Amino acid sequence: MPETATAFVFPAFVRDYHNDKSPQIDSFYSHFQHLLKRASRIVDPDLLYFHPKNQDFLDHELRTQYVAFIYGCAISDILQQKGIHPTLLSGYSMGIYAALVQGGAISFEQGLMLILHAFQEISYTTMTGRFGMAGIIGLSENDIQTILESLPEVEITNRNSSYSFVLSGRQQDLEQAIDAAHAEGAFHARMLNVTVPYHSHLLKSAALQFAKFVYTLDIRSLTVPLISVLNQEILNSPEDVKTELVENLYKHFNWFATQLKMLEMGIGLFIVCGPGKSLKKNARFIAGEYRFLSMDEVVNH
Amino acid sequence: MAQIMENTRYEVKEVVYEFFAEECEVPVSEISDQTNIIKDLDGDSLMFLELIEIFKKKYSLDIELKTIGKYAVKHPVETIGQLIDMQMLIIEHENDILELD
Repeated sequence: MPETATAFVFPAFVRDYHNDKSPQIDSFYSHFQHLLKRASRIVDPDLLYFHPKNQDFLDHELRTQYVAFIYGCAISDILQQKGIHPTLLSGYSMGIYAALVQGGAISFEQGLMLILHAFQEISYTTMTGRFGMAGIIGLSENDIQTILESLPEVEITNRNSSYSFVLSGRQQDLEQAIDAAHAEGAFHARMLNVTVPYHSHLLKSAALQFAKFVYTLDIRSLTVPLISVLNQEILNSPEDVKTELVENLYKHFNWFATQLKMLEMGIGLFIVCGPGKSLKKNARFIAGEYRFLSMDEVVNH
Repeated sequence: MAQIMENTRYEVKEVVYEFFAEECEVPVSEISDQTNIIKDLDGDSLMFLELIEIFKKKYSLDIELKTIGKYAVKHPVETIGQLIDMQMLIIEHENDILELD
């Protein structure tokens, strides 16, 4: 059991399940299956057929969000059953929903409905064009801002480290930005597997519609505080949570600053409540005395 | 520019092997100069970036990442051996590496 201050961090999406060792933990997989069944009754019957070995749903943006959410809830439940409790929570982008369930602000069912409503509102807003997100690694923020001077509709919507950024915008503009980034010397620049410009101003109208649903929900105070990835403030109250849910769709976030803030607050152990390794990889660029582990690493050590 | 010593290549090789062994969770004994970084080790550009940062600090290198990126576009690296070769050129030539073409 960890003796150090622990943060549970929740990823937004799943890119693949090849290296995911969670299903090897019996208590996890039976609970995961139980939550999948519940989710299939609430939002999507096809979730019943999901299996990580088959790499199911990776090209289905809504279902992969559901699966990441269910993974997050299942992992955090199992960790707590084993006596591992977080002192702080954080959700990377759409990872916020599982973080809020873990923190007791919303129920599992409310989390699913929030994902569904957000996705529906975003789909209405983006149905008239082709949008997406891109990742650029190896250029500085200034280099990217220079590239974007001729592409005003593209925004840097997240910073993962000093040399790793996420952009959102129209697909055509993003493709131009990627070409320019390669020419400028980026190690890596490519489109992400999403068709939504998450965290960009293009989703503001969707967020306002989403707010109408958010404000109908009975959202409770957090029993474990959540750090905002938008402004690194600590959230506790239902009003904080509602505002964060709405703004999370269209405001930029900063995962790098969020990790630094958590370290400053004394977090010594980060546990990834999801199947991927992306968050762990990003943490390589942050110096400090801390560990970044997946559930199986925590349970097996 | 950093002085290339007789044992520099050995040092670089040792750092590269140990880095990938730890990051990719494979024994050092399973890594060779012919190992393909992406296909065999599931490596990625973030690892490449981290490795460069390690060498920048180790040899106090004055080089911009984007300079290395521009060089790498023309001279793509696939294997551990190629990565060590490129790293030696970076240590030796720093920001002048592009002038090698």
